[in-house]
Amino acid sequence: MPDTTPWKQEIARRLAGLRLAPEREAEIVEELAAHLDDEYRKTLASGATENEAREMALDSLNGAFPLAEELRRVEHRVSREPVVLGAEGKSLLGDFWRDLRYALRTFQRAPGFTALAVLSLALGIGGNAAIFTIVSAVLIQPLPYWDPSRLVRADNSGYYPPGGVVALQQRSRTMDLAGYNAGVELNLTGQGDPWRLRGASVSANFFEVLGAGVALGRAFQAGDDQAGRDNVVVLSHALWQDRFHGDPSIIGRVITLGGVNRQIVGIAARGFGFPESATAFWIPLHLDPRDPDAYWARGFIPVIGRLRNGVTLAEAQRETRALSHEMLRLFPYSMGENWAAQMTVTPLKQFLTSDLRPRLLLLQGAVGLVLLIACANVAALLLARAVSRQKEIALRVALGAARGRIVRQLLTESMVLALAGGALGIGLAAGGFSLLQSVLPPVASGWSAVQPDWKSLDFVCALSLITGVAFGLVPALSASRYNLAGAIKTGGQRSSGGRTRLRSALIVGEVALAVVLTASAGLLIRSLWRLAQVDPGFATGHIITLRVSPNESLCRERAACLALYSELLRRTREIPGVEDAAAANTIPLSAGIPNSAVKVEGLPYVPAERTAPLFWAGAVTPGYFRVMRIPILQGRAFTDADSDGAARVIIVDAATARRYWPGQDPIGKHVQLVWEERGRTVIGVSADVRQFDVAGRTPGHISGSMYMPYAQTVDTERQLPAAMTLIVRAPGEPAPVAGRIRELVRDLNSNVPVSEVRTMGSLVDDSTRQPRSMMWLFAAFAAVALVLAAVGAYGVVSYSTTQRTFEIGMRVTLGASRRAIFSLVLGQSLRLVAAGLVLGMAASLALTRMLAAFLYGTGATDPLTFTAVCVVLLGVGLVAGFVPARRAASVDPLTALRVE
Amino acid sequence: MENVDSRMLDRELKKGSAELLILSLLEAQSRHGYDISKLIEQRSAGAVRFRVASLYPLLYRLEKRGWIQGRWVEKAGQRRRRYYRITASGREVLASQRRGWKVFVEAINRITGLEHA
Repeated sequence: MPDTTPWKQEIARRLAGLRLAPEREAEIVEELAAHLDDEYRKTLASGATENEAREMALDSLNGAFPLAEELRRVEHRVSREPVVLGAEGKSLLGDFWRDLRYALRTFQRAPGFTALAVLSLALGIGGNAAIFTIVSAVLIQPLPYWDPSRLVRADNSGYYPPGGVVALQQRSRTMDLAGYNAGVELNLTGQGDPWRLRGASVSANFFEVLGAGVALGRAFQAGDDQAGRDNVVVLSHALWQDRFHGDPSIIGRVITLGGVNRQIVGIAARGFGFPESATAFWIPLHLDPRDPDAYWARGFIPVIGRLRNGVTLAEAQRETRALSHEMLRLFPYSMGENWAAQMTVTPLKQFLTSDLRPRLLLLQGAVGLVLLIACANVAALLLARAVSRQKEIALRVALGAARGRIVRQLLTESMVLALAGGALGIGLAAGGFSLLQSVLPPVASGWSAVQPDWKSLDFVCALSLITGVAFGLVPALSASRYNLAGAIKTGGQRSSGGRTRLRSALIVGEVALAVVLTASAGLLIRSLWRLAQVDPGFATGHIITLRVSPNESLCRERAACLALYSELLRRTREIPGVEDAAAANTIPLSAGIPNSAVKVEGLPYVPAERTAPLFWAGAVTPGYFRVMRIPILQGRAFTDADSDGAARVIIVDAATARRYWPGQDPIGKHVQLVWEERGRTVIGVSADVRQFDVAGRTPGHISGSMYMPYAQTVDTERQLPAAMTLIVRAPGEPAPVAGRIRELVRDLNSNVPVSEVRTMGSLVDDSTRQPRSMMWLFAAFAAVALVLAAVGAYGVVSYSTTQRTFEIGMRVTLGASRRAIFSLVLGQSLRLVAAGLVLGMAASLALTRMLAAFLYGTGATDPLTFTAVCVVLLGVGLVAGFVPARRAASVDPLTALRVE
Repeated sequence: MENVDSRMLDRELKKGSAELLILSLLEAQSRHGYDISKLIEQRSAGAVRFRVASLYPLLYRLEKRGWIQGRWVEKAGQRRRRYYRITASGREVLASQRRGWKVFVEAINRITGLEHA
């Protein structure tokens, strides 16, 4: 076979510039080389020289146009289907691919527009995805327990005493019930360093009612909560892993918890955390009917239930109310009638999420607004583009493209934008997720571990598609409705009035929504600022706090407990760098709320009608007010003389004095703990402090506050509180001081753990973490909204300025000053923003009310904030209008008039 | 046709009727590119010649339009060649082009009066 290689090389050289697909090029080269070879041989045969024959053959490669030029027309044009906007296709899918390719090419040609649109959408979609992930996990998905729809909480503003829980369990025909006591803190000893653990004591059927399984061993069973048989414990999966290294042979082992030996009977399933996500262990409730005080008067606890088959919520509630009413007779002391009447049964999920629901819905609403703004923005951008594509589209229609096809093409473009935005949004969502989580309080049952998952990906896809239609449909419909003749005749230079009005309306709406978000953010910022200005009523600087928690058993001997703390305080004060030290059973802004039911002198106490008021009951050592810098307004502070054996005294805070003895001298009044024989005498009035939160709110069930000298304190267990917080004033570095105190505690009693080491300053900071995160989120939303609104307004003004170049040129020619032109254009921007501002203000006045619950020290319609929003928005209008205005003012009338 | 100025014919052919020529040649049997070019040359007695640079792009264009179809054929002892055959839609196009051509030629003849010269 003849060698055609030289021909092939020559042809390939000529085709190189075409960049054909390699297979296609090889085919062409082979076919043409064969032809040249035939030609060459034929010429040779006719008697020509080799050179002549080669020349002739090669000459055949030159036609009217060079070979490559001829081939380019065929190969490049025809190798792809001709992509024509709105051309009638053969099939829907074929149309789709065609439209998709066209869309991608269109975007490639307008990278600025594309980036702006995709980024706007990404911010909107990403934010929605992140928040929806949490909304879905917390509000939509069922609780992670068996048949969760039947789980309820039998709530009763107060709770039930252990005896009440047992009575309910025995009598209820509608529910299986279990009581639980969250926040039981016990020391784990004998496993290396003593360790403070937080767990729960629960009814024996607790796991059964929840329908929660165990990973190892067994859950509690009937009888586990009977006195004498209740020294058993179920450990959390995490505790088992961390402290016991996942030892599979752990079942049956005995550990020392709170000084009591307990046998490990089970390991809870991984991730199970009820009533708190960090619950480390579960022990049975201590139920001993022989101790009526413990059985009926102490440790009121909440109750959960599982509705039996076919029972409705209303039936369960009716029955529980009736049973609670009957139960009144069982109390060894008289309970108020209203106790039973307040009984409600609510779905457990609703109860657990009641705190989060408003916050989450608010966030979802806000981020929804951001997406709306992004949609309006992209719609406005598309409308603007549609105007410049007017001629193109008109031509397509003239060439026979159906209107439906054009709409479909334009919608495909918006879908591509939306999906790109969605993809980028997922990235943003993942990034912003941790910020989001910090807004939410940790909740039970592992919700704190919410992570973005595939479900939220579905949501993003759906949202992107809906978004694509939302912002694409109006521009598409509008674009397809061109007046052909008009569009082609005018050369597509000027936009129709209707479309400009539509764009302006979009921008006005966008600005209005931005106003709502900015006003919300402004209110939250102002609220947080107010919160930061709050004087908590105690010193926050230079104070270190440490939790010291000996076993409860230590304090059965009051003297032992008193000795421990007095020695600890004495030696702490001797540490270099320590100025002063005191101890308290709880410190301000920490979670604990010790309380006692009291009879207040002067307040008629009618047991059958109402329950005794609950007072927050602080137990403090004499130095407390001094170290905390809490002023004593009246009377005196505690001294060492207010000892265990001395006359019982208390200090009340100013609010309590005002409430119970208005216009009277509180000194010398009496407050009696309900189980004590005699009242305690008020010897002082302290200034009010922000005990429960910085905002100064008090939990609904607390009616007053009193301090008892630690030595005279009796807690609900009728003994000295064992766990105390050491409050140390030390101006230097906190860490070395804390280290010394740890050593000191270990020296005094090696079984006493020290935990929760922190500074008072960080405690105050933490207490505003939620409002701070909320503020940051809203500020971020508002910033995005403002930028989008500014870009939108700029787009409209800038575009219309370009459209009005001729008019502006005319004006200048007719004598208008540069200044007048500048104000004319700037005025257009300001008018847009002002219209949006008016609309947005009206909406804000209505909508910010929903924020009221999250605000401190400022109304939901705070005039200062709203004024600031006006200023910010007008600033946005100025910024958006400035560049086009300057451009307009510098228009050269000659050039402008030549535009036509 | 002998009297037709060959340069004019050449231009006309190249302009509008090259497709017609190729489709006609493929009507009866499938042929490869060299074969087609030689046939055109022979049958026009050298008046019409296709260069490689215009013949093949034309073939490819007709193929893309679906009027002809090429495929590689190997015969013992010979090199591989690409043979083109006319498709059904190619036949339709050929029929309509022939009608159009006829009308055109008749019109030209009537105007120029060549037939009655």
